[in-house]
Amino acid sequence: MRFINLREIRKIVCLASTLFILFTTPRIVSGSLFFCLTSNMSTTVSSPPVILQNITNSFIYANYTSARVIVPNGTNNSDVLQILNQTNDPWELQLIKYSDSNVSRLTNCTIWFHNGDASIQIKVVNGLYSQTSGDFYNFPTNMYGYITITSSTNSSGTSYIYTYLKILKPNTSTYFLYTITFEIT
Amino acid sequence: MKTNIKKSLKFIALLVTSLLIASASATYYYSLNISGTLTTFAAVIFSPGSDWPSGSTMGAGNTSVSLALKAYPNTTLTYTQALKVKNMGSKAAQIRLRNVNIENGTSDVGNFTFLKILLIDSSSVMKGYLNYTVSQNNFLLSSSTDYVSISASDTWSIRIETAAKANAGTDISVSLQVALDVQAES
Repeated sequence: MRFINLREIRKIVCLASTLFILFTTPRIVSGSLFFCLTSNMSTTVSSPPVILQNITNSFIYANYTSARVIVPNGTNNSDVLQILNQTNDPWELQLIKYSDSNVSRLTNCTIWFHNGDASIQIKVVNGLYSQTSGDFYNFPTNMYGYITITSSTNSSGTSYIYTYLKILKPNTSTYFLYTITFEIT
Repeated sequence: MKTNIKKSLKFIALLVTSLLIASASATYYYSLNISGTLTTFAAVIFSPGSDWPSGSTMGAGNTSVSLALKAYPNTTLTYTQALKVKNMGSKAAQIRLRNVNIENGTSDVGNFTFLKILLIDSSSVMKGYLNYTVSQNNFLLSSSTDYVSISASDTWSIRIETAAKANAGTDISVSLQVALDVQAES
């Protein structure tokens, strides 16, 4: 009987390794798909569907989409801005405070929407916010609403409340923001 | 007759090796053929989001889309979920946003402030963006366009923000083309 020597064992191991690699290599070959989805976008500048108009003490900026409201101490239930829906689409409105300065002198500052129903949006009592935004306010087609303010202070100076008027398309998350600055002297 | 075991073994080894090489090659090309035929099925597709802009159209097979967007003067208009991106495959895919083309150099461009396209995952985390800001009459692009992995059966969204200058004229349009590149394992 012929015994397999060490040299032959080495050859067999080499052969076995070769066979193993050959068996497994085809299985690790895989393909990838490369493709792209295309999106053509056309963006058109349109007239703002909702505009701001001055009632009292307000400055309206270009295209009626931002405003500055200046009210003195002791203002009571003053309609400062009118919001006009120029479209046949309903919208929802919300006022959101995003910054401020020197509000500690405000003993009372309340800002709300109204046209029939009132909806308080921002409220400061003794220098502290009890509300920095309000519920969404329904704004029907071709209607108008008001922003009204009451303010009183305990010292001289000027306070600023910087807000966004959020205008939301109902039942969607499509919205746009107008900047409104309230300056309370 | 005396059989040479050594030679016989060598011959058998060569025979088996050649057979394996032949079958391995066949398997290799077979795999390539599979990936070729899979191109008829897009693992990742678009679908209209909850903020699908009116007047937009979806292409055949949901692999292309034409969006009619608006921009308003001096304000940012946000389409939070203009489009959905769905991975219909059974494996994760790599995707990224890529700028293809944007209208540039016309006076119309100067009416815009910015156009922003963001890729948002199912946890509301931003995964990539194309941000076109305006300098005079040109759009300047800043972007994050690395490939990111979308899991099998996952749905992401594309958020779009537009803004026009305060004194922008109306009925002015610009066009751009954006690609969503997909690498899908077959």
